[in-house]
Amino acid sequence: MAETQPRIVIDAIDVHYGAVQALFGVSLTVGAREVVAVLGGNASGKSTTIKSVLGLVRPTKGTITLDGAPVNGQRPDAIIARGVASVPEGRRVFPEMSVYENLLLGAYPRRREARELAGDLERVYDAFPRLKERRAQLAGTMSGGEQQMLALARAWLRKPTLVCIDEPSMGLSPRFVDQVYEVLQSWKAQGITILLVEQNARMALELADRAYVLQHGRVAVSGTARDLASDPQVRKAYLGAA
Amino acid sequence: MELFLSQILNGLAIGQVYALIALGFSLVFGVANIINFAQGALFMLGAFIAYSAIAWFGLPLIPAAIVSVVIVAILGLLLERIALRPLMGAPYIAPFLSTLAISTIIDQSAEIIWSPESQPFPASISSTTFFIGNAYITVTDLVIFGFGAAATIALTLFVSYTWTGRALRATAQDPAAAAQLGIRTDVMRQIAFGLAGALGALSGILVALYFQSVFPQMGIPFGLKGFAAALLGGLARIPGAVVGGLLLGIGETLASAYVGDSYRDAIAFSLLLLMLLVRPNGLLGGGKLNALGGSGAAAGAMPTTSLLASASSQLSATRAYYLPAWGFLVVGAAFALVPLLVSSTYVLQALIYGFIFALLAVSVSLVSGAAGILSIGHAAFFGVGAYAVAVLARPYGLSADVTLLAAVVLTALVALIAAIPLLKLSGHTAALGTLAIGQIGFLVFLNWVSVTRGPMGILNIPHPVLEVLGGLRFATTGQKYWLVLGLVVIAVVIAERYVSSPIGRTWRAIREDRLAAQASGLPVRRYILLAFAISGALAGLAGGLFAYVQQVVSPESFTVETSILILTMAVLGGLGNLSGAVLTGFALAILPEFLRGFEEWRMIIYGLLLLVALRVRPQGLLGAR
Repeated sequence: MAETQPRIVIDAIDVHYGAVQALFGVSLTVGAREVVAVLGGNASGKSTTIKSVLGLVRPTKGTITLDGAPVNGQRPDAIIARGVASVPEGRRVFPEMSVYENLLLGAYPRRREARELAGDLERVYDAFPRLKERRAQLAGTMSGGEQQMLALARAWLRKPTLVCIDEPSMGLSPRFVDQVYEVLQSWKAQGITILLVEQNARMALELADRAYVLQHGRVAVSGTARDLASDPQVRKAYLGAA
Repeated sequence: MELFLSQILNGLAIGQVYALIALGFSLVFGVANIINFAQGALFMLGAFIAYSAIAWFGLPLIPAAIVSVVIVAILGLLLERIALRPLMGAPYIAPFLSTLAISTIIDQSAEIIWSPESQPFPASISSTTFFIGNAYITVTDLVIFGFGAAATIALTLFVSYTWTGRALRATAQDPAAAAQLGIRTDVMRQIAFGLAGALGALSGILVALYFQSVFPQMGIPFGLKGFAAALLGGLARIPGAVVGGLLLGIGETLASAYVGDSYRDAIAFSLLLLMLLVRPNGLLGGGKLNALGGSGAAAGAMPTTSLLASASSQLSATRAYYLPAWGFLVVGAAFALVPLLVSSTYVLQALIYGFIFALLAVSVSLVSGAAGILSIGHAAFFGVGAYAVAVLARPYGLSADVTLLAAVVLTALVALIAAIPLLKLSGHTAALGTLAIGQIGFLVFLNWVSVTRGPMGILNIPHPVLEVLGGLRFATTGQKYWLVLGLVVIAVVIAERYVSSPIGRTWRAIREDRLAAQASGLPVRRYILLAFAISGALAGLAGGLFAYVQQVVSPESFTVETSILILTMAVLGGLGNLSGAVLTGFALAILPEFLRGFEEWRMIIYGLLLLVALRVRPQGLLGAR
């Protein structure tokens, strides 16, 4: 990890929602080709962390750097334009658009590369035959698991070098959770850097290289995934281990 | 039968135009989630800019139309920039009020630039008539239908198959998700407004060609019809807007053929109210409206009219300053001394109008602030009170006790009935419902000649005589001053007692969260109807007093401008804060006295005041309650 410049450096950020403070001096780094998980319970500030990286919320203090350049206060589209893709919390597919159109919108920043796009679309259809079957169907009519697959495929069509993923297993049956993580494993194998926010610590720690545990808006524990998986405190709080 | 078929063909042409206006509403509603009240103003500007390009610069029709479409599209962008972008994160209702203010400013500026009169449109398409069987259709109708249809198809193709179009739809469906895919949602909003401007201009030009005339007041009625068409079709859907527009066009041409041309608009607006009553989600459905707290009696997780709640979900602590009920008695007593010190009829007259408008502002503040249904139609209630007194006092010669009581009761009743179609709505949609009520009221005053004497009005209303006070006659301005002041103070004290009572608390609960109010077992409908009845009674009293003071009652006192003025007063004072309403109502009513020579700028000044207030102090002067 030390060999190259880190992709994301979050340095002591505070985030406020009106009068309520959500993050207190959170710091975090994501190295190139690394998979970093942010764990924590409800309202611990996990999603806020990822939203700050994507420019969806503005830190009131501290800095965020992406590939060495500060991105504080930049709009989401400017951050996405730097090779980032997002798989938002709750999937957020466009319900009244077809699967095909949803996929296309994932490639919105690449809209001028028409030819490559057609090829990539084929590759997505090969990887997700289900989506190919349903490409003309309205996305809102699909099941939660299928929508999550669509959201993943949509992000992949961005051809990102860095993906921010917010709770991909939320509300899914175990079978779909496994499928989601299979996809993420393959992305990891492709060398895509991943910042992952999860409540499902067991799955996340299997995938991740390193992890941070947030509590009440502060980093409580951090370390390699292996260390955290065996950390008694983490096991007790998040892995339901005896 | 020929007439019937011809009317249908004719209706299809004008209906296609309504569809274009409706599309302007739908686009902006879909992408920015607000109802753009200024759509009508853009429409009117489209017609007038084309008019000027032809009449002043001698351009042929087609280049004139293109110039107009481009200019108005740019104005649409500016509208978003000036009136809406600064209000991001402001209370939900602020953007709507902001477009209302802009619309007022544009309409009044148009009257200054082009004069308030109607002018013949200097271009026409051949009036050759075709016969299809026995039905006839003119070339103009065909061209209008053709252009309208072509524009609709082009728009459909654009949003369906282009990257920008897809991004627009994505932004409409889920702006946060769209932003995370790299779509600039702020640019999409601008594009939506620009397109709405272009569509507005195009429809304005087509209407000018259809009716062969342009007038600065055309924006509101046609805007409202476009909105009716959009709502008819379910809002936020292109096919819906088209179906809605065509139905409305056919409906109103049939009505004007079989009922009478003067009822054309009244019928269109009645259709809108009927629609709100039976199918608030539109013919083609769609739950999108619910996002605005729009339809369904259970809607209201989102306090759409509350100036206290905002999109940031954080309540900013604001303070409201207000008098207790007895405070108004003290203020009233102080004002009662004025005629002893000042003998100028001019000053007293100005103060009397100040009192009447203070009462009107209280009436609106009660229903729009406390109960949370924004009213842009109160001039109708004001007018019902005025006409009740005028009719009973003039031809029937009844005493003021009877006439004023009749005005109060009748207006309360009218307001109660008018509120029924609004029960299922809140937020922006309810506001447009009240606008329709206001327009219907005005059209009835204008056209029900046997009772209201139409545009001539009722003249020579006798001085008020109170039988309860032994036939006391209020003939001089000073005497009328005391009569008006006394009754206004009593009415305001009663209104304040209501607002401060548990009933007022219930109204505020309904305003803040209708769903929660319903879940708490509150009879929401009954309370809203009560709010309208009381508000109507207050407006009716104001109207009755107005009739006695003015001694003339004619429809032009009860236009939509008056409604907007009263609403502005209520907002500036702090919605739901009756002390604020009294203060700003009084102040804004006597303000024109200081602006002698600048009367035509009056509405512009009010519009600017509203615009500035929304940015600087959305909770109003004394703070919303």
